[in-house]
Amino acid sequence: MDKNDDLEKMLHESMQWKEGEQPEPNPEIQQRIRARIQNPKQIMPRQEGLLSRILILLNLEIKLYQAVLSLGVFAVLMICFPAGSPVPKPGESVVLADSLKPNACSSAKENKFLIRNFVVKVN
Amino acid sequence: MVNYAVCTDEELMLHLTRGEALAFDVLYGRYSRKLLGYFVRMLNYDRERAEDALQDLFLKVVEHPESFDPARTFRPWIYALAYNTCKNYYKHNTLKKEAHQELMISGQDPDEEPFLKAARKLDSASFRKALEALLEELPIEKKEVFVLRYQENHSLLEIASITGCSEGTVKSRIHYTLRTLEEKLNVFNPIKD
Repeated sequence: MDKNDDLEKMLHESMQWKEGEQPEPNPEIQQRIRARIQNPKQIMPRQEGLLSRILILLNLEIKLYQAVLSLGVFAVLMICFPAGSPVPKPGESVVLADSLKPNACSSAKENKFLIRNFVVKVN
Repeated sequence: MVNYAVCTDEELMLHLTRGEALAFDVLYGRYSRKLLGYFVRMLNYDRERAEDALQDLFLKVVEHPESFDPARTFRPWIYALAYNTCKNYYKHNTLKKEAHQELMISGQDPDEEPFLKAARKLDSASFRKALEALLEELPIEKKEVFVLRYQENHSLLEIASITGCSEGTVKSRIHYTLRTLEEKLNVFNPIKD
């Protein structure tokens, strides 16, 4: 037991820093860490799409049912009040005619342009 | 008004999670010198690297104070962090890191007689020098246990908690270091009794 105690004591004494040998931390380290506490790292925001950014700006939270309901109301309004019916001025008559229904859509390569609807005004 | 100086380490960590820099000052005052001494020994007396390690360690503490479990005690926790910091330095730097074979001990204490005989032939300064030279050569896991035991005065149980190994392994590593040191001392003093 004594032998073990001697050994422990010797090792403890040998491993302790002697006067003037104990390393002192550079005071700048503390300042740097303190600065980090006062100005914590900014967390980078996630990359958001344009709509998300606008919504964040407006602080809106749109739910799916709200979007569907809005679309429904918009569709009903479009059916009830169709746009594009020209109101003739006095002394004018308006002839509405549909073009032939195109069998295919025109593409950029084609040199013809298919017109689906047009209005002929007759003075 | 909180008197941080009388707070326990664990209470200070709680204050630190609220971003209270004064709590950090007290914790830093309590541990920075000791941890720097630990890093200096663990990182082979490279003072600059030891200061970098100290800064890295405290940055981890202040950036993620919530990672401290208040149910645990602070001292083993911060030394476990310090150990991991050292391991990273060993991993990314050219410090010696070969694994040495563990010496198995079967419950009984090692025979200290030859070691003491060898050690007593030297004066304390020479013994210390031999010890420091040996520590530089030791692999990190053995050096860690030895420094925690004899420099930082941790109990075997605390060391086991810090290093994440059993008490038996801790004893085995200390025994290994003593045996290696004994051999080294005999090399220095080839005249045997």
